[in-house]
This record gives sequence, C-alpha cells and structure tokens, in this order.
Amino acid sequence: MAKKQAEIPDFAPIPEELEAHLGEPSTVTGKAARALLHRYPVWPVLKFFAHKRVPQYRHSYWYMMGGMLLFFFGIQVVTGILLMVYYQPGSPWASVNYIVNEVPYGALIRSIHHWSANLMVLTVFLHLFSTFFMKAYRRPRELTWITGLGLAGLTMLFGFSGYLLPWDELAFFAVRIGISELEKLPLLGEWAAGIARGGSDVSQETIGRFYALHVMVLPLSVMGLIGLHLLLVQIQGVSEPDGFRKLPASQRKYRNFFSDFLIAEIPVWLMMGALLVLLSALMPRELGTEADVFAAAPDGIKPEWYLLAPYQGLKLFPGSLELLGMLVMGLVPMALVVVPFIDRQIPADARGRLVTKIGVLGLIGFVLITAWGFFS
Amino acid sequence: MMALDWLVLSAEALPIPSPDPLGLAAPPVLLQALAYLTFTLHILAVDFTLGGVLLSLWARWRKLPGHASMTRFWRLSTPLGFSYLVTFGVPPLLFLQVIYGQFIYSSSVILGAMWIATVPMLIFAYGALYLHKLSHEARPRWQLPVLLSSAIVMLLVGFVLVNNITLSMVPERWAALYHASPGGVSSNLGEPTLFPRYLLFMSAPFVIAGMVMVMVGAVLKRWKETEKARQFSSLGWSSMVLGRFLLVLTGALLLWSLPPEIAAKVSAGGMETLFFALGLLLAMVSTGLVFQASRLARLDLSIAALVVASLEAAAFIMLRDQVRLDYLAPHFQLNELTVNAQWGLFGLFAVSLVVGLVFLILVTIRVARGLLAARAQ
Amino acid sequence: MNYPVWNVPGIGAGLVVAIIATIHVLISHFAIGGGAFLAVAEFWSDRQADGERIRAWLHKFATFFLVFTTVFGAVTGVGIWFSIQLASPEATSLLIHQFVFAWATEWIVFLAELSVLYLYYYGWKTNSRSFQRFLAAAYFVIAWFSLFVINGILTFMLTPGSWTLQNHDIAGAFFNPGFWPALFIRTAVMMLIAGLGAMLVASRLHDDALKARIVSFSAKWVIPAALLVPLFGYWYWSTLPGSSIDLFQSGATGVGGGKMASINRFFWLSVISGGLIMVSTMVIALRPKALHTSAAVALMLLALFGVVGAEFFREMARKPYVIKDTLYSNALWVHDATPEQLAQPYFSASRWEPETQPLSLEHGEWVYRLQCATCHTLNGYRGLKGYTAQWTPVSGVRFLETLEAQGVMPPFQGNVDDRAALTSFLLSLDPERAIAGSDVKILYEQAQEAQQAPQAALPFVGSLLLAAERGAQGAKEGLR
Repeated sequence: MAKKQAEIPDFAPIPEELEAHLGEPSTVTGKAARALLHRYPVWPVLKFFAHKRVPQYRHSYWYMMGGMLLFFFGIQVVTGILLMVYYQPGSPWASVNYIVNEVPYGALIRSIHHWSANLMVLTVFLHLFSTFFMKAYRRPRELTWITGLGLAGLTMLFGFSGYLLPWDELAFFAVRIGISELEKLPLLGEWAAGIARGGSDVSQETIGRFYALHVMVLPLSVMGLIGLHLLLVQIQGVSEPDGFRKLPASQRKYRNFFSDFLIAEIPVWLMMGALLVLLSALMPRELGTEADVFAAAPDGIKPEWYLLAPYQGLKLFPGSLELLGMLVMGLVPMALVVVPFIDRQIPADARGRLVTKIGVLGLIGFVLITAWGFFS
Repeated sequence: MMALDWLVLSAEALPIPSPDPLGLAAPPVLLQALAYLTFTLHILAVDFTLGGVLLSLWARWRKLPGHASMTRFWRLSTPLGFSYLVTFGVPPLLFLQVIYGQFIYSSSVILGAMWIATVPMLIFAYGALYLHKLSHEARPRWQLPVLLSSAIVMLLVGFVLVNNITLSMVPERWAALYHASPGGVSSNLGEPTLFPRYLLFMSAPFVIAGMVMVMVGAVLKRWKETEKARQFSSLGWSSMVLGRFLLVLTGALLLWSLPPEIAAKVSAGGMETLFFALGLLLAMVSTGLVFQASRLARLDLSIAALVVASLEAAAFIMLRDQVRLDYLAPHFQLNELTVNAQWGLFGLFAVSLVVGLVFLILVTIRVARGLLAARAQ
Repeated sequence: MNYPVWNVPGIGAGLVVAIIATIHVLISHFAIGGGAFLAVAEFWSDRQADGERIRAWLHKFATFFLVFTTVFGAVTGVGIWFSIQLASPEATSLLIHQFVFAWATEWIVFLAELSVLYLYYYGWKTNSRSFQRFLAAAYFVIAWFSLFVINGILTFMLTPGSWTLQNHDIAGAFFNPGFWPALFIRTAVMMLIAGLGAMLVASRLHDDALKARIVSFSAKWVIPAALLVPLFGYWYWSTLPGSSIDLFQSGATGVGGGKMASINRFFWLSVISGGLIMVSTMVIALRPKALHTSAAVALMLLALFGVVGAEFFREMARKPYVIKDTLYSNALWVHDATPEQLAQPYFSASRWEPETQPLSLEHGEWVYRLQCATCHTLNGYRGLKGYTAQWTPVSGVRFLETLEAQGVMPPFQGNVDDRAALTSFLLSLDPERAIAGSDVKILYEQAQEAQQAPQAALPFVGSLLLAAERGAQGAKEGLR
C-alpha cells in the first residue's frame, strides 16, 4: 500500500501519529480522509489548531463569550444579506415598511437582526469585562487585547450606523443627537460630523454614508480584525488566570479546544439562535412613523442602551464643563488601551490589584449610569 | 361589638358574579363532604410540616437535650410533609370553587398580587426544606437561616390564604378594594376576624406536631432508645399544651370578633352548636389521650390521640363552613344551586379513589417492611 | 363583566400565566418521561457488568428528578391554576364545573404518582431489585395517566368537539378531535425531555467513560422522539379548526398589531427549537464525553423555548376565544354577543366599574380595564399605546366598531359613547395626541354624516374629515 502511494508523484505520506486519528482505512470516512491528506498534507495546519486548549475550572464558561460573538456576527451577516435584498437607501422607510409588512418573514428576519445586534453588543461587554478581570490582557497578549478593543468599537459603530437605516422618527432623532455630540468636539469635531452627515444636518445624504459603512466598510474591517484576533489567540493559546496557574500541575485540568470545547459550545450557540427567535416572537421590532426632518424632536429621545453611558455621563458635566466631560469620556477607551502596559506583573502585584479595583468601580459606574439613563 | 354598617348596603349594588351556568356536578352535600375530608388532610399536613419546622427551630435554638435527633427527624420528614400539604390543598380548593366559585374567584382577583405571590413563596419554602435536608453535611452554617426563612415564608402563605378566604365572604368590601387597585395590590386587613382566624390556624401546628413527637417518642421507646424517647415525648407534650392554650385564646378572640348575629348562632342550637360542641369534646378527648400516651409512652394511645385530633379538626372545619354560609346567607343559599349531576364521572372518580388507595397501602406496607427490617439488622 | 379583571401593568395577566405554565409544561413532561427513563435505566443497568456503578449515578438522577419535579413541577402546576383563575375566572370556572370529577381523578392519580416516587426513592437501599423495577414502571404508568386526563381538558379548549354549553357532552368534550394527536405529541416530547434531563445530570460526572456511555444512552431518547414530534404534529394540524389555519396563514408578514399573527412566529419558534435540539444532540452524540454542563443547560433551554413556542401556538390558535365558540378571551359569552346586547351601554352589563362621568378619561380607562386588559397592557406586552400609534379619533372609533373583523379579537361591547371614551383614553396615552371623549364622539359623528351624504358630496368628504381633524386640534388647544 505504502509503496504504491510512493510511486505516485506528489503523493505525501501520512505521518504515523496521524494514522491513529483517521479511523479504519476500510471505512468511507477513513478512505476519504486519507485520500485528501495524501493530496493536501495539511497536518502542520492541523497541528497548529490542535494545540489550543482551554483551562477547566468553575468559571470556564467565560471562555465561551468569544465564540458566541462569532456566532452572533454570523447571524448578522446572514440576516443582513437577506435584509439588503429588499432595503433601498433611496427610499429607506418605505422599503423597511415593505420588508415589515409585505415580505414573507421580513418582520421576523428584521427582528432577529435587531435582537442579535443587541445580544452581540451585550456579549461584547461580557467578553471585554471577563477578559479584563481575568487579566488576560497582560504580557504577551497586549496586541490581542487591543484588537479586541478595536472590535468592540467597531461593534458599537455597527449598531449606531444600523440604527439610522430604517429612517423612522426615533432613529432619526437619536442619530441627530449622537452626531451633534460629536460636532462639539474641539478641532476635528465639526469636520467629522460633516463627513458623517454629508451636510449640516442628518438627511437622506447621511443614509448613503451610513449604509456604505454598515454593509461594506464595517463588515470587511470586522472580518479582517476578527481574523487577526483569532490568529493571535491561536498562536499564544488561551490565557490562564492567576488562581489557575497557582494550582499544582495535577489539579490543572484542560479541555482541547478542538473538538471537546467546540462541541460543547455548539448547543450553546444554537440555544442563542433559538433565543433570538423567541425574543423576536415575543417582542418583534416595530417600525415607527417615518422621520420628518422638519418636525420637533419628540420627548424622551435616547440612544440605544449601549450608548447610554457616555450620553448620560455627559449630563454630569453641564454647560461649559461639557468639554471636560468629553475628555473624561475619551479617557475611558484610552485607559483600556494602555492598561496592558501599566499592569504587567504575573501574578498580580499591588498595582495589578489596584487596576482590578478601578475596573470594578468602572463597571459599577457604567451599569449605574446606563440604568440612570434608561430610567430617566 | 362591631357595628355592621357595611351590611346596610343594598345587596343589589354588590358586584357578585352570577354562578357558573353549568351548575354543580353533584349535590352540594357530597361536594362539601369531599371538601371537608380533604381539607382536614391538608390542615393535618400543614400542621405537621409547619409545626415540625417551628419545633425544630426551637429545639436547635434552645439547644434542648436530644435536639440533634429531633432536628434530624424533622429534617427528613418535613419535605415530605410539605409535598403532601400542597397535594392535599388542591381538592378542597377545587370543591370550594365548585360551590362558592363566584365568591372565591372575585376575592382572588381583588387580592391578585398577593395570591399569585403564593406560587414563588411555596416554591421557596418547599425548596428551602430540601436544601436544608440535602446540604446539612456540606453546609452546616446554612441550616438555621434556610430553615428560618422557610418557616417565615410558610407563615406568610398562610396569611395570604386567610386573607382570601375571609374576603370571599364579604362582597360588601370588594368594589372599594378593586377600584383602588385593579392590579390586585390589596389585602383584607380591615377584616376584624382576620388576625384571630390566622392566629387560630397558626396555633394548631403546635398541637399536631407535638402529638407526632409524642408518637415518635413511643416508637423510640419500643426501639429501646429510652433517653431519646423521653426527650421527644417531653417536647411534644409541652408543644401540645402550648398549642391548646393558644387555640383556646385565639378561638375566644375569633368568637368575639365575629359579627354578633353570627357569633350568636354558635350557641343557638343549630348545626353550628353541634359542630362546636363536638369539636370541643374531641379536643378534650385527644388531650386526655395524649397525656396518657406521653406518660406511659404508649404508641397505640398516641395514634388514637392523633386520630381523635383529626376528627376534632374536621368538626371545626365543618363549623367554619357553616359560618361561611351564615356570612353569605344574604346572597347565597346552597339549596338554590343548580345541580347537573355527572354520576358516571363521579363513579370513575370513586373507583380510582378506592383502587388508588388500596394500591398505595399495599406498596407502602411492602416498602415499610423493608425499611423496618433493615433497621432491625 | 361578571368577574373583575386582573390588571397587571407591563406584562399582563396572560403573560403571568404563560410564564408559570411554560415552566410547568417543561417540568411536568420531564416528570413523566423521566419515569420511563428510570424504569428503562433500571432494566438496562441490570444487564450491564457494572450495574452498581450505573445505579449509583441513577440515584443522583433520581435525587435531582425528585426534588426538581416535586418542588418546581408540583407547585407550578398549582401555580397555573392560581394564575388562570386570576386571568380568566369565567373560563376557569367553566373548566372546573364541567370537569370537576376529571380534576378529582387527576388529583388521585397525582397523589399515587407522588407517593410511588417517594416509595421508590426512600426504599432505594432496602427494596428488592425486582420491586424497584416494578415501582419505577408503576410510577411511569401512573404519571402518564395523569397526562391522559389533563390532555382531555387542555385540548377541549381549542377543539370542544360535540360539546356545547347546553348538552354538557362530557365524553365528546374529553375525547375531542385534538385529544389523540396531542397525547401522542406530548408523549414523544416527554421522552425527549427525559433524555435531555438525563444528559444534564450526566454532564456532572467526572468519569469520562461512564459519562460517555450514559450520554449515548440518553441521546437515544432524544433523537427518535425529535423525529416523531413533527409526524404527530402533522396529525394534530389536521384536527385544527379552519379559523386557526387561516390565522396561521395570514401570519407570514407584518409585525406587532399588523398582519403577522403571533401564532405563526411561535410555530416557527417551536419548529426551530426542535430542529436545533436534534442537531445539538447529534453533535454531542459524536463525542459524548465532551458534554459540558453549559451545553446540557443550553439543550434544556432549547427544550423550554420549544415548549414556549408550542404552548403559545396552542393558545394563539384559539383566538379570539378561550373556549372555542363558547367563551371569548375577555370573558364575553358567545351567546351574549348578539348585536342588540353588544350595542347596550357597556356599564349596564358590567358590575365592576366605579361611578364615572360619561365620555371622561375614567370612563375610557374602565372600558379598557374590564374589556381589553385581559390580553393587553398599555405600554408593555401587546401594549395598546404602540398598537394605536397610527389611530386618529375617527379611525379609532371605527376600528372598535369592527373589532371582530380582525379575526383575533372579540366584538366590542358598548355603544358609541363607550367607543369614543376608549378611543379618547387610548389616544391620551400620548400627551401629544390627547383629546376629550366628547370631541372624539363629535368627530366620529361628523365623519359618519359625511359618509352618508349623497354621492355628489364625495369630493367634500376628504375636506370634511380634514376639518374635523382640525377641529380636534382646536379642541385640544382649547383644553390646554
């Protein structure tokens, strides 16, 4: 057998240690696997993937957040493409109204897109905070952390840009307020706001820009950045928290990412998929009245919940202090970017513990300000 | 005595729903009998469980001699007791709804928030008993708070039930309560009989759980655990005496708080007098029996005491229903109800009752034999 | 209105019932299927070389099973009853009065089920092997019989068969057209949930080899059952009334109060959840030792979502009735819904409203409370503020006039004043659109007159309507 293969040019021999995993050569799958591997000797790639393992302890479910984000992103891509089939940036509200009221299951797809976006942002927060509190950003994973922050920012931008597209009353005024906050920034504020709006106010011009951003620029950037983020994780392996490292080797248990961890993740993803349908069935996304550019803003216009914290936080700085407020708001992402370079010691030293405490305060503040914004 | 100014309201203005168009599936007396039987079982299970939890807390708190085996006994038996108190609570409410549906549904809606809150409360109190049982080795420090919270929640559930039953008897109060809170965030705190009634119900657990402890004491005596037997019997007797004292007190309070013309019926020589006198007589007999049982550590006497106490409970339950009929007399008469008897289905029910009970008795005997044989070894 | 209506702000009484009921349905099916699982696993363990080891696990399963089904299952069962008597006292009363001895029989069955479970569990060490097997099997048979009884009453509500309020045909009511298919669906579903429950308990095992065996054994309960459900579902479908099918078919488009009937959405929720349970279980079966507790919990949640979909479907299929063709969901008897009776002033028939000024906001609010609040909230679930966002005073009154034409709602009870008061109340939920009830009535009457005017006047109708709306605007200004 081996001899025969050797006679065929470019037919790669399969290493011994791989043979054990391929199943009986007599079975269909065994045959197919061997035939493929002879032609495409990908075992260095397989090996590269096989080494990833996930530490197993009480809180190891936090390691599922990244996979879940990928799942939600997949849902967004699929439902987004379906919505694009009928959406027309030239007549935004009418086309969404058509999707909602005429297209079979259009309302369901739109609701799923809406709920998936919300759960995706929520999962971004969970992923970010769990990574932060496990101190997984420390050396040598600084770049992974920064790409993750970039992805979080892009996710917010996704939400903000998608929110305008239906062109209903709430969307219009929320985006108008959002961009006018941007406009107040010193130096580049007015310029950036002008670019975003395509004029001095939010108009149908803005739709074109947001649409291009939402369906081309952002998806491509996110896909690229996700690829990089995952590649870095794959190269360095999953970070282990200090408590786990301290354990004697005999008590440190791992699960192989491929395929034990992944197999356990699949039901969780699918459950999330069904949850999206449940939420869409119970609370379908409704379409408001068409935006009237000349109308006065109705009461109680607020951005989506995930942008409430900066929006409401700015209200703590009234009048001339507003600039200071923007500075403070701007410092939060900056602080997150530099944290791996401040908190470096493994296991955590006094500074590391201080960073954790600040993080806890930050989280509490974030939740409180968001809740304040929600109920005010 | 209270003035009954609310009775002056004309009955026509009261929002009493019309009775169900289908009528009763059996003569009222049959439904009443079934309700009395099952409600007696419910009350016994409540008294066993709630009394057991309270005595267990008391024994642990006072570090009574032998409290470890007492708490063990109640730890193992109260989850079962709770299970049966829920199960036996169902049929009396079912028959109550058949006879008095238009009253109990209305009062339930008016107390809606409270009424629905009993569901999570029951789950909590019940779950806490299992947590108490299953975690006693792993988490000894949880024991006291878990048991205490279960007891408090059980007491609250009882309060809701008494609120609802008392409100169902006074349609005069419904409109004002409902208009003030259509979401059902109301209570019947204005009812003069509410607290006496509630406290009466909450006194009986000391009697029944005390009698059970006397009975367990007698069993322990047979098993030659003399010291433990004495401890069980002693706490059981004290608890029974306390319970009897509280029952007399709260019973007197309840009589005094009843509207005078209804209270008068208790001594008027009618059904009310009969049930009241019967109840008192049985109470005295059961007290005498349990006294002898605890003194002589006799199992047969302690079982007899429990049986007589159950009959006593049944007598007072029948008195309670008579009082309800007296309350409702201006709006409701049993003999005015339409009966569309379903004898076929009743037969099915009766057959399944007999078959079910015979089957259960047979299998229980077999399992009990196995358990006792294992103990003997 | 015979009974008071329980007004739960934000979620509504119906959703309170639904929350309790879906939890109960999941657990009660587990309580029956789990009995079958116990019985089969008893026999299975006897045929395994390491039967003792499997039975040690089985004891863990039994502990979980007992606590979970008795605490959550039994009490939520009572909870459904407590909640339906708040949400629909009239319907509950009907079910209780018609089926009182069926309920009583059900209770005996439950009593026996519970007692046998305790005898099985507490006799674990002392009962003989054959007696344990007997008790486990007896438990399952008794528990399944409790499903048999309750199923007759549940399916009666949607397909009452030959039963009517007059003939009291209880055999026809119990063995109604939906009885057998629903019984088969539920039997398959409980086997599925039993397998998922066993996987959940097995996911805690540290011994990978034993875990893999038990998970594979449990997966064999899930997959066949998941295949059978659509088969029985098709049978069930064939027994549904035409009105339910119409409702379903109109449901592929629209949202909220529009055309996309929620029955359709919930149908897909149950189909998707069922399919995903199937896929997940097959993935797990490929590598059973990989089953992590989070995955097992996710599978249970999928089952819960499936139950939510199916039970909501069943509820929605009855619209606008709670007892098909007999009692509307807001406790209006079909025999009372004659045009003459419906046109009477609403408060002449209802008993539970306080004194209100005709056409006042309170008038409208109490019409809402007694007639709409069984199903609708103001701002939350099925919120009327959102549903009436496009209303004008005239369109509102007209909508109420032909409420039953929606196919999902009972006819409106009351006269023009009641409709105008309700419209005024609903519009006033949005302060921008607040309008007095008397103004609504004037606008409506003007619009009616305009419509009845001769054909030649038609071009003016539009301007008249416009004038009427302006009048409303003016009246609003005047009010301020």
